[in-house]
Amino acid sequence: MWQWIHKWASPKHFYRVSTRGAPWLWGLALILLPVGALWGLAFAPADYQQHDSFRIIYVHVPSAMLAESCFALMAVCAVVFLVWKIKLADIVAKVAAPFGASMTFAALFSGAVWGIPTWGTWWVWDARLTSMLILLFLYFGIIALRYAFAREHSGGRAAAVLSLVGVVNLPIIKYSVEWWNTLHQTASFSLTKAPSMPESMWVPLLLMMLGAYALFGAVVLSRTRNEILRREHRARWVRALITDTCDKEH
Amino acid sequence: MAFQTLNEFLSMNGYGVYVWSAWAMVVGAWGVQAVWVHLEYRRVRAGILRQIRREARS
Repeated sequence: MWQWIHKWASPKHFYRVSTRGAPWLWGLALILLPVGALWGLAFAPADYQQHDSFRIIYVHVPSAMLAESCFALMAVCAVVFLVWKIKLADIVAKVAAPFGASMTFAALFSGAVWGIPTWGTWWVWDARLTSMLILLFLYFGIIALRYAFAREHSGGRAAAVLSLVGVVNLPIIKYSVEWWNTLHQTASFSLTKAPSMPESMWVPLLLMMLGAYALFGAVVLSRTRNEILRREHRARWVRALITDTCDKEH
Repeated sequence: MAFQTLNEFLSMNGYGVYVWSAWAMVVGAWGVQAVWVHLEYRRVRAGILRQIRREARS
């Protein structure tokens, strides 16, 4: 078991087995997102209260979901890196952070824009919005902390510790709409209950969410592969691989 | 189709500014990430190639 984990987590082995997976994830995202976007923008019926402004949901929910999932992934990687010292986990945590930060900003932005016609204000200090803003600052802190150390390994450890501290914010974001009386509505999608909107509205949302996850997987996987090449640039297998791509071009 | 004309679609029946700016932000962020990945690969690859050549010379 241990040997299996270490073999799988070795950068060389991971690079080899993920070569085929990355194009599939990119392809999946490239199919799901345009279909979901066209469906959500042009074919889903307008909301009876919010009219066409509700179409922001198709980008707001996926970006907010990625912002949180990405942080959860980083926290899991932090444990794996701190406890078992698996370098691959540190690489994944490193490349995921900018993606998560951009998604948190995108979720805040799309939410603010949605708030203008719906709530009459682009910002309120309610629990959901504030905890999401804290998430954005946590992302900034984690990214900055990593580069504040001269040694790459020390930066990775510090970033991992901060991701573990920051993970308490995730349940706060999730349950903020239930624990506090917020302007933000409660979840309109759940695994246990039937959706609170008609099929023609939630199917495109589901497509956008799945597509967003595929894109997240594709970006993190491909950047992990880039980072492996960068860190292992002295290894013979990396040299052989790079010269190989060069030969193919000529 | 939820819209009768192209104009209705583009203006989102008056909500165009909100819908399109929110969409542009999120889709733009996705696009930037996707492009970044590919530029990063080319940069890493070029760096390693440079180093191989430098070592071959010395």
